[in-house]
Amino acid sequence: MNAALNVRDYACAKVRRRLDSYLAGELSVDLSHEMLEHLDRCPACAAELKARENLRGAVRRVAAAAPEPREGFEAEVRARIARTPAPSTGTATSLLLAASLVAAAGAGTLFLLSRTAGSPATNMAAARDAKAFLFAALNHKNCTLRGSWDKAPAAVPEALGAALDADVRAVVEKAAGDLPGYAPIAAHDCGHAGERILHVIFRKTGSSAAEDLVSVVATRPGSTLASSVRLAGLVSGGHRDGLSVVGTSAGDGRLVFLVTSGNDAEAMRLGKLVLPTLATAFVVR
Amino acid sequence: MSLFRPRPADAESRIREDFDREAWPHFREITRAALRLTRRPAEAEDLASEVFLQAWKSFGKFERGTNCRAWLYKILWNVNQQRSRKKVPFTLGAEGEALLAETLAAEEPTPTEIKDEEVAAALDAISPEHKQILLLSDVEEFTYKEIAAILRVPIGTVMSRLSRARAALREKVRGTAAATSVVGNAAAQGGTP
Repeated sequence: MNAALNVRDYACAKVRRRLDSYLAGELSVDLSHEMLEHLDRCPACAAELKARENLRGAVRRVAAAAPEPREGFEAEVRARIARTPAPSTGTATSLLLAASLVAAAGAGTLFLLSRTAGSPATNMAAARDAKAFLFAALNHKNCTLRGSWDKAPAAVPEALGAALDADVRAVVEKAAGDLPGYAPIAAHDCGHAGERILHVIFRKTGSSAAEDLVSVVATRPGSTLASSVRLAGLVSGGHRDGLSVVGTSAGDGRLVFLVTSGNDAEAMRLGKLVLPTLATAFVVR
Repeated sequence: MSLFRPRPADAESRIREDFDREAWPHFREITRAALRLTRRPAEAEDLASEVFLQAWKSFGKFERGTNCRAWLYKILWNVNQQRSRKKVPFTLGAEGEALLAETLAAEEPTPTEIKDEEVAAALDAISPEHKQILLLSDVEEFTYKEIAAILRVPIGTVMSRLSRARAALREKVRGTAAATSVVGNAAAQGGTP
C-alpha cells in the first residue's frame, strides 16, 4: 500500500541500505549492477532513490547559497601571512607523514588534470572534470577488467546484443568500424554513482589479455555528471593505475570517454579514431 | 657560530610561491565552507583565517603536488573541532554508529517535495558532527577514503556516521514536510467556505 512496506522485503532493505553509497559513487560496479536490476523492477525503491537524489541536490543548493567572502578579507589574511616567517621545509620524514596521509588519500581525485593555480571557478571546473574522468576510469577498472568476456570478438551485431536502443545501437555500430584492430565484444547498461551509462567493451583482435580491452563509456541523457561538465574538443584525462582516459562532450551534452590500459598517447590515438564519431552521432533529438 | 643561519631570500620566496600555487586557490572555498559550518560571517572569517595561518606555519609538512585541498579541509576540521568541542560535545562510538545504521532500513520514505528552506533548517537542526560529514561528502564531494583521512577515523566509521547523518537529515526533513503539510491543509480547510 505504501512504499515503506516494501522495506520489509529483504531485497529492498538491502538496496536501501546501499542507496546513499550508490549515489556517492562508492559501490563497486558489481553491486551497482545489482542495484540497477532491483531498481528496474521495484518502483518503491526507484522512487526512494529519486527522493534521496532530490534531497542531495537541495543540500548542494543550500550550501551553494553561502555568500562569497567579504571583499578585502583575502587581502587581510594574505597580509597577516606575509608578516609571518616562512616555515621550515627541511622536515624529518616523520613530520611529513601526517600531512602526506590525507594528501595522498585525496591525490587520486585530481590525478588526471595538471594542477594549475587559477580562479576559484576554474579550479572547481577542473575538479569536476577530474571527477568525470575518474568516473570513467573506475568503470573500466571495476567492470571491464573484473568481468568475464568472450575471448574472441563476435560479429558486431551479436556482440552488441539486443539490449541497446535502436538509435544507440546504430551509433555504436557505426563507431565500431572506426577502431581498426579492435572489435566490440560487449555492450550493456552499466551504472555507478547514481549514473546510468552505456558501456561498450572492445578487445584488440587476436589478443586475450586484459590490458588489450578498451572501454567506451557514454553517459545517458539527463546525466547529473554531464550537466556540470563540458569538455571542449577531445580532452586528455591523464593516467593513473595503468589506465589512460580521454573524453569529449557529445552534441546532446552527454559525455563520452575512452579508457585503455595503454599510455596517454595511445588513449588519445584511439580516442581520435572513435570518439568524434560518437560525439557527433549523439545529437539532440 | 650560530646554528640558525638566515634563510636565503630565494628559498623563502620559493616557499611563498608554492603556497600561492597550492593553497591560495582554495581560499574562497575554505572561507565559504567555514561559513557553512559556523553560519556566522565573523566566526567564519576567524576560522578561515586561522586555517590559513596554520596551513602556512605547517606548510613545510605538506608534500608538494599532493591534494592540498584535502589537506586544508583537514586543518579546517581540526580547528573547528577544537572550537566546537568547547561548545557541543558529541561523540558516538563506532560501535554505536554501526548499531544505529542497522536500524535505517525500516525508515519511512523520503519526501519527494522538499523546499530548500526546509533543507536548510534541517541541516541546522542535526548535530554539528553530522552536518560536517554531510557537507564533506555531498557538497565538498570528498570520497569516503578522503573523509576518513580528514577526520582521522576508519572508513567503516565514515560509512556508518554518514548513514546516520543522512537518516537524521531525512528525519528532520520529514518532520518539517509533515508540519508544513498539516499547516497547509489546515489553511486550505480554513479557507474553504
